[in-house]
Amino acid sequence: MTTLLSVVRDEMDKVVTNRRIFAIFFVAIAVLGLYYPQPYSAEVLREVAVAVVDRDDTTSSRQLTRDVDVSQNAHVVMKLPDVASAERAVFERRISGYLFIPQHFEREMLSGRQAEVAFYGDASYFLIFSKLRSAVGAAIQRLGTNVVVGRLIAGGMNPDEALAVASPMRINMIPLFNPEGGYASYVVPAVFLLIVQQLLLMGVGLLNTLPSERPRVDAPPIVATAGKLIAYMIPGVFLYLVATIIIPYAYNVPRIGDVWSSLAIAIPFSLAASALGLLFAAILRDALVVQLVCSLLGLPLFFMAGIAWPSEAMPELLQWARHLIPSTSGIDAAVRINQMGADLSDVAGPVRVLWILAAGYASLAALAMRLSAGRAAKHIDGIPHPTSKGDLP
Amino acid sequence: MFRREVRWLIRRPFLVLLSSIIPVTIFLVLASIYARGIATELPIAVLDQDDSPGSRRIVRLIDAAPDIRITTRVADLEDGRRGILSGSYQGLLLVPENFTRDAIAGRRPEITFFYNTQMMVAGNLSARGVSSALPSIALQVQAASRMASGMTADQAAIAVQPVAMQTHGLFNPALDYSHFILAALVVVVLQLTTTLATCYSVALDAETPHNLRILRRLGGGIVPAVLGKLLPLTIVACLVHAVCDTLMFGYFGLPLDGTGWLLVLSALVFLLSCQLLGAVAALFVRSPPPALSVVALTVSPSFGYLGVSFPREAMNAFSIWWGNIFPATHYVSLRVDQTVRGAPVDVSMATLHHQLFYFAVTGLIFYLILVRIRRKAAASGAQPQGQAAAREE
Repeated sequence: MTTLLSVVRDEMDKVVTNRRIFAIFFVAIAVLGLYYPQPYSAEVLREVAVAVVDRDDTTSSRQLTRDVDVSQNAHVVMKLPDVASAERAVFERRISGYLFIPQHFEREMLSGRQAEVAFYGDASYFLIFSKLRSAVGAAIQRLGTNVVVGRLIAGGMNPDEALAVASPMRINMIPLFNPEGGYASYVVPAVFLLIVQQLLLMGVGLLNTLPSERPRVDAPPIVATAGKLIAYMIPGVFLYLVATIIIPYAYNVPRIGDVWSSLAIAIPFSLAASALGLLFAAILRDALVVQLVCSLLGLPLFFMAGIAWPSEAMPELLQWARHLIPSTSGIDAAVRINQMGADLSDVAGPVRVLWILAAGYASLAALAMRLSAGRAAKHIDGIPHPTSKGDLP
Repeated sequence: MFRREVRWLIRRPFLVLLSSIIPVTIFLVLASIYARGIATELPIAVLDQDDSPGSRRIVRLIDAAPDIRITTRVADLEDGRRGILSGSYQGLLLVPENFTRDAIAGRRPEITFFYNTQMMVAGNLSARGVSSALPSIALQVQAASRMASGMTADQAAIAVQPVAMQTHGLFNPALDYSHFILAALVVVVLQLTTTLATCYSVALDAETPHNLRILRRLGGGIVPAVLGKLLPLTIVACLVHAVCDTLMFGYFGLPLDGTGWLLVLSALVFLLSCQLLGAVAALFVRSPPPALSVVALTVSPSFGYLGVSFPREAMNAFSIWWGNIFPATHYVSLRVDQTVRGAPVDVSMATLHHQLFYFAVTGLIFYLILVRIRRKAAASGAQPQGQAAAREE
C-alpha cells in the first residue's frame, strides 16, 4: 500500500516537473481549443448561392425564381442566359447549382401537360447539395400544388377540399438534439474527446519512455501500473472536463446532460486511454517513436470514431475492431449524455466496454513491464536474452 | 551528397517506414472505412398508431426506400426516444391514429419523422431517405384515388404533378461522398508523413551546427546540399503517392477526368512544399522532438481547413486565411477539380499559381534561414577553428 502511494506521488511529481509533459497535459488543450474548431464555427449553412437559367421568362417562371430565393436555404445570386455560363460558374465555385427553366414552361404547365424543370446541383458537398435540393424541390412542389388547387377550384371544388386532394397529407420533419443543425455542435464535442485521448496517449507514452523519467520507486509491475494509472486520472479527468464543459461552452455547443453522469464516463475513459498509453510505451520503448505514432494515429482514429461516417456503413471487421479504441465508446457515451441528455442506463453498453478496455490494457501493460524488467535483469547478468529483439512488433 | 543521403536513410529504418509503408497503411485503413461507398439501409424505427391497411402500406413503401430500413417497431413515443438515446436507430417515423380515415376525409393528417441531428451524417441520411420517399408516396396515394375515378395512369400523374423536377447531382451523380473524402485523405496523409519525415531528417542534421557544415561541404554549396538532402524523400513520397493513386483510381474506381500534366505538376509542387514546410520547422526548432511536436500540432487539424466536409467559402475569415498555410489546401482543390469534377484547365490555373506561390515563399524562408545559420556559424566558428589549427601546428 505504501509502495502504491509512493508510485502515485512519484508519478504526479513527474507530471508537474517535466515541462514537456505538463504542456501536453495542461496547455496543449487550450491551443487546440482555439485552433481546431475554427473551420466549423460558422455553424449553420444558410443561403447557398444558386443561379437560374430562365428561358421562359413568364410570370410563373419568375414566381418560381422568387420562391427559391426566399427559402432560407437558397439565395439566387445571378440569372444567366444559358447552361454553358452556369456550368462555368459552378466550376469557378461561384454558385453551387442552377435551375434550368425551359422555354414554354408556363404554357405547358397551364395547358394540362406536365412541365419540366431541371435542377443541377454541385453534389461535391453533401450538406450543400441536400439543402439546395430541398429548397428548390419545395419551391417546385408549392408551384405544382398551387396549379392543381387552381384547377380543382376552377372545376367547382371548394378551396379546402381542393388542397386536401392536391396534397393529401402533411409531412413534418423534426430534428432532435441539435436543433440548429450546426456543424460545430456535431463535430466539436466528439473531436475534443478524441484530442483528450491523443494527449493522454502521448503524455503517458512519453512519461514512460523518456530516459530522464526512469521510475524512482521500485515496485512490482502490478502495483506500478495501478499507481501510475491512479496518478494519470488527474490530467485525464481534467482534460475530459475541459473537453466536455469549457470548450462546448466557448463554442456555444448545447450541453444538456447531467454532470455526474458525465463524470461516470470520465473515469473509465481516462483509465482506458492512459492504460493504452502505458502499453504503447512498453511496446515502442522510444520517446520519439511514441510521439510519431501518436501524431500518425489521429487521422485514422478520427474516421473510425463514427463521427464523419456512420459506423453502420463500415465493413464488419472494422465495426468490431474500432471498439478496441477507447475513444469509440468514450465519444459515443459522452455525446449521448452531454448533448442528447441520455441517462447512464442508456449508455451502459459503451461504459462497460470502457471498463473492459481499461482492465485489459492495464493487465497487458503490467505484463509487458514485467517482461522487460525480466529482460533487463538478464542483461545485467551478462546473459542477453535471445529473443530480446525478436519480440518487438 | 544524394548517395550519402540514401545510405543515411537506409540506416534509419523508422524514417523509411514513416515515409513509405506507414502512409500506405493509413490510407488503406481509411479507404476501408469508406469501402462500402454510400451508406444505405440505415436503421430507423416506426410507431404506427393507426395500424390500418393504409398506414401499413405507407410503412412498407418507406421501408423500401434505399437509404433506410425499418428495424424496430416501438410501442409508444417514450420507447422510441429511448431507442434514439441509446443509439439503436437514428430516426423515428410516427403515423398518427386515424391516419387513413383522416386522409380519406380530406383532413390532411400529418406524418412526423424525428431524426437525430447530433449524429449529423447518419441522422441527415435517414431524414433524406424518408423525405425523398414521402412525397412520392403522397403522389401515389393521390394518383391511385384519381385512377379509381376513371383517369389513366399518365393522366393521373400529370394531374397530381403539373411540374416535374429532374435532379442532377453534378460531378457525383451517385451521391457517393467517399470519392471526395478519399481524394482529400490521400493528400492529408501524405502531407502529414512527408512533413514529419522531412522535419525529422533535417532536424537530426540541424541539431548541431557541425553536421550542417558537413552537409554543405559534401554538397558543395547550399542549393546542391539541400537538393541532395531532400530529393531521396521526394522520390519516396512520389512513389507512395503513385501507389495510393493507383489503388484509388484502379481499385476503388475513383473517376479520373482531367488534365494529366496539370495533376502531376501540382502533385510535385505539393510534395516539395510539404518538405519545405517540414524543413523550415526543423531549422526553426533545431531539436527533433519539439520540432516534430510543432509540425504535428500544426498539420494535424488541416483536414477541417481543406473544405472537404464543409465548404471553405462558408468558413470564417480566419479559417479561410489560415487554410493557406497547408500545402494540401490548394492541392486538394486542384485535384478534385481535375479528377472528379473534370474542370477546364484555366479554372485550375489560379489554384496552381497559389501552389507555386506557396512553394516560392517557403523556399525563400528556408534559404534565408540557412544563410543566417551559415553567417552565425562563420562568426562563431572562426575562433575555435583557428585554435584547432594552432594546436595542429
